Amino acid sequence: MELTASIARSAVFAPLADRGRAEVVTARLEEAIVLGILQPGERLPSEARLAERLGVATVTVREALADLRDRSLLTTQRGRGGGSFVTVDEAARAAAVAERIRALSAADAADLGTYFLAIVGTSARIAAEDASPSDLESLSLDLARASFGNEFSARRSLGGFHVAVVALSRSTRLVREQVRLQHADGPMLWASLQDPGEREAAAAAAQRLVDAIAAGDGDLAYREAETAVARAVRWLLAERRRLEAR
Amino acid sequence: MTLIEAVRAVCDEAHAVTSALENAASDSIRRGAAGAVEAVLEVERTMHHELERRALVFGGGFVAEPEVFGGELMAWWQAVGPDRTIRRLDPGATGNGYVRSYADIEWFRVPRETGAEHMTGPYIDYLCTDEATLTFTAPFEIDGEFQGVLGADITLDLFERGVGDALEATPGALVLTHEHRVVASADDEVLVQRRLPPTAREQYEISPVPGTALLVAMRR
Repeated sequence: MELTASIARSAVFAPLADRGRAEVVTARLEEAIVLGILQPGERLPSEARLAERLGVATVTVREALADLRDRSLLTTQRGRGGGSFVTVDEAARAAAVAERIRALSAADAADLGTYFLAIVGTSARIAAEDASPSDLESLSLDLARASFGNEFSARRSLGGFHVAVVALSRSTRLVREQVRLQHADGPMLWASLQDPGEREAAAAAAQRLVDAIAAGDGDLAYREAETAVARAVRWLLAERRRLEAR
Repeated sequence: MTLIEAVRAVCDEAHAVTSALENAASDSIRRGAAGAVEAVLEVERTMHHELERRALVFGGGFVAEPEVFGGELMAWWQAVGPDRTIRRLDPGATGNGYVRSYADIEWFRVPRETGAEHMTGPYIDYLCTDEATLTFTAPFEIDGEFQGVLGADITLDLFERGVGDALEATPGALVLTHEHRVVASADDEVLVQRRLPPTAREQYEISPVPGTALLVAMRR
């Protein structure tokens, strides 16, 4: 008991992550570029705007952009219509994603799935037990407007759909956590969406989840979330093995 | 003040913001895209004024019909944090990139479809407040043509503060939506935001609160 207490106490005073702020900004933007959240040719907001959005000093943003420029992920054009543009090409991007999948451990892949299910599965169960007709209408409309035609639109659509399901738990904390998960780990967890067959399966699974919520079946809703994420994890593991064998 | 009067008074705070916006910004909104810049300035002035004097309102403004204004436009101001710093909503930053368009969201869609005022929620508003919220919106029309919505947000925390005394004075009472979702509760066994199950509804005398979309439930 005393030991537990002292471990808990020392955790309170453990050092905080002390990576430089510019490094954190660089990592955030690099991740977004490599994983295609920011797409080739896209113009980033101005330095001042980025600083405001990210809650850091302008000089920090400038330092991060310079670093990304040095690594050819961005180019900067001056003058009218200028700014920082994403320049990484599709081949380089695909190679970087493959590298990340190869570096993923089996334990990490399983953990991503469990983390996701803890939030989305629980929310789906609450939604099935508690959703009102207007909630169901909004959720169905959201999915009807979703597009799984390409990797980027599918990731955005599926992400939006999952946040909408979690919002039906009516827990602000779960919604924030899900958004955080999707920003940090979503592109890796749902890397399977680069495969057209997986996109089709994800769209069908989302529809089955809506049906289970509409049917008021909490257990089924949880299982649908579980089946969908298990498939994504299996794809990651298989892809990792395939890349390893090359 | 009875609970019914208290609920009415809180909802009237939101309605008052909508009316103030309508009075201030009608003429410029009427000019469509040509009046957009002016409309935004008038909404800003009005929202500063309203948010300074109405401590129960979290935010409000005008949200334009994209087809009329040539694109999405949210002129929405919020009183953020304990000191109620007034700032304009940045929907790109709060939607986290997952909201395709506000056009399909209940607080915009329903007034557009019905031509009538609508109360959305309580729901987790991850586009605007990032909290459990009630959103009151009214359609703004010119000659029957929909231009957008005017409205205001009251978070559940603020709503609870607004009806607090009257609620505490009414043991076991609940404030409900028409879908029997609990907005405020004086009963620790009944959680806010969940729906009251059909079997439990029989234990209450449920009355509508005039001029609002809410109901008050008293224990029988």
